[in-house]
Amino acid sequence: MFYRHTTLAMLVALTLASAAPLGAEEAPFTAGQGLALASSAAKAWAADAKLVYLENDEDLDGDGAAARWGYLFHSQAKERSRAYSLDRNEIRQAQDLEFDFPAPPVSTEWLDSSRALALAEEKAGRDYRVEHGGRLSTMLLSRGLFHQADPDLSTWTIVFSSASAPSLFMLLDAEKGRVVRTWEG
Amino acid sequence: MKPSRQSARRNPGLAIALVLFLSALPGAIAFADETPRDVKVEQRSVQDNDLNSLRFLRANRDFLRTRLDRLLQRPDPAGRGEADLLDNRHLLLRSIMAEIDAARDSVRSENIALERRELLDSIDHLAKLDSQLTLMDRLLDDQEGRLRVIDEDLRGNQNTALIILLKGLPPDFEPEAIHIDESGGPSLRVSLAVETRAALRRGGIAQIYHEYVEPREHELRIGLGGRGEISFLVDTPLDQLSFLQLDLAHVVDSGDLNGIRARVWQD
Repeated sequence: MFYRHTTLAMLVALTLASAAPLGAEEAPFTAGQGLALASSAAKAWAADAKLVYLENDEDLDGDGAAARWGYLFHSQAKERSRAYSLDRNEIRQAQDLEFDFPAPPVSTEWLDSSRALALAEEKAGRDYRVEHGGRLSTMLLSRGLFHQADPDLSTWTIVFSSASAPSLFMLLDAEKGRVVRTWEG
Repeated sequence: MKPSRQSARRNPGLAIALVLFLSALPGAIAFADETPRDVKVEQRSVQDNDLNSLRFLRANRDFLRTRLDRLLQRPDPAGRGEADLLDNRHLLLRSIMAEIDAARDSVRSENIALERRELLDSIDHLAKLDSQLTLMDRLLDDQEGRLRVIDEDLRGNQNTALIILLKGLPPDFEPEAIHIDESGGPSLRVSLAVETRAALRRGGIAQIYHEYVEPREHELRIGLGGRGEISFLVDTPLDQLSFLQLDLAHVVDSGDLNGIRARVWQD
């Protein structure tokens, strides 16, 4: 009996030891952490490629990290946009955007998604989640699309959703972190 | 007597064999292979085309396009057109050039002062000379610092690239061109002149492609002008130069390209 249990324990231990780290490529990461890889791919596609938009491609955790992010670059020379979906370690998908989207480039300096979420939570996000049983659903970075009063401002748009209330949209200055406006819809 | 205990006792080698088998399960740690390796031909999609990406953008495409159109059409009060954000690298290089010009002027004026010096044995003159040399040292240090910044900036902009090489050609096979295609990517046709084919038969190697590429796995379809086609998966890691060598020595005709041998390595 002892020998059988010992053998079984060894087999289990060896099985666990020999297994690869589970879901290493699925480990969540912040938007800024994937930027270098996405930018490198975009420069190979077009020398004048500029980042114009990014959003989470998988669900976000409480630290503003996701297992996959989508980065959209636009090339004026090619008159096309190309999207890269990345996990922690590699490009999972690279494809031209199927519609025309010549958006202006986001600023070169922006708060990472972790910091942006922390600021949004502090202002209204946490209260919304608690009051309405909501959750963080989307974080997207863009310039000018959501605040036309200041079209050169790059902004994080952070969306909290709930089944029992309209979604909460928060717009943050992506460089300084100031909340520009909030609205429900 | 219990058969299972007796089996284990009679066959300790079974446990060892089982341990070795489990150690070889998929997922065991693989050591990095730094030597050129043969590429396996597989028929599968390199990209997860079913992955959802940019969901909010696509779901709200019309709304965002409308906002973008308004953004692009807004009038510029000065009537000069929309300004682009300046590249930070451009601003950095401009400020470095301004510092270099200022340092150059400092060196020039100090050189003029040195040329006019008459009495080097005067203590006052020697003291001034010493402080001027100290200034030169500081200017040189500043220049070294600026060169270091430029060097680091350039090194940070390495790109991912792919070189495709051809070697080998059987005596009776005369392909006039090689086609290399990638779905969603470039399509390449390279003519193989008579001289190139002769060189390949004599053991020469021809470089037919050298471009920057996206750092990901690429599925390249190769054709030699006939009905035959063969695909290779090539991974081009970030910031590395990758080589794909295609050996045509065993190709019989353009209809059957299974004789192509491919090797991939990074430099």
